[in-house]
Amino acid sequence: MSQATQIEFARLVDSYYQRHQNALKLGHPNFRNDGFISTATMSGSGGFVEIRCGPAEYHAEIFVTTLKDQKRWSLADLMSIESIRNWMLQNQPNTSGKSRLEAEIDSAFSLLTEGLKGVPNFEWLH
Amino acid sequence: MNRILIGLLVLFVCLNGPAMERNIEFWQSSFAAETGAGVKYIGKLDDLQGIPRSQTLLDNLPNLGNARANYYQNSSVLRGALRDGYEIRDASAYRPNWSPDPTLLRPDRTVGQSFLGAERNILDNKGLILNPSGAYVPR
Repeated sequence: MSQATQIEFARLVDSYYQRHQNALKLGHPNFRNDGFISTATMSGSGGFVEIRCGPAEYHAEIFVTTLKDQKRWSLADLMSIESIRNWMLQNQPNTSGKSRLEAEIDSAFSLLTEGLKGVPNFEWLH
Repeated sequence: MNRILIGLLVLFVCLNGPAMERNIEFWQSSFAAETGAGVKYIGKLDDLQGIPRSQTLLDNLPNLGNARANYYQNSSVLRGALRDGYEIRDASAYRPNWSPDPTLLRPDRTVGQSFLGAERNILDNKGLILNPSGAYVPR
């Protein structure tokens, strides 16, 4: 990942973290860069959340690790839970005026704040 | 004398037959897989964890800033690896093209609709097929 992409990724994650800070019981993001792969990690009492961006597609990807069962949930895993799947399909973010990366990071934080609410595995997030 | 000639003829046919070609491919493939020399892995980022970086295409894929440019770069880098004679292996071979691969903006996307699906399509168009060991070999 170029330095410009790394900086933009960190800026966006920080910005959306601050917007959702009051709704989420997550610590400030820590950033790690591994060549072209950039990862933001935010820890909570029952696990941690990773938002990652890297080659080849440079999408923002979300992973939620739950400590209780040592499971790392990808978006596909999260969407195997019906309520989360329905939330994802019904709550697509407004992408107008935003870069794809920003729209994806916006969506990731909305998913954490609203989409995972009420799901027992992720109660520690709220 | 005739026996020797017949023996040599049989040996020649065996060495040049399709079975021998498959054997050579198998041994080349096994050697490449064991040593890592001449191998490049494609696959989802998570599936590439644990594979030496030099055996992936990741370091040739900087962010060009938009999806279309990144798509063409990805295809071009894979074609380059094929031209350079690398054996291509699929670290995500267990994920068929129809399996879900959602993104935050496209929750209904499948693997076949991702860059990996496009890479598999290129390999298919080049007449390559995934063998059980995870390597793409000529059909």
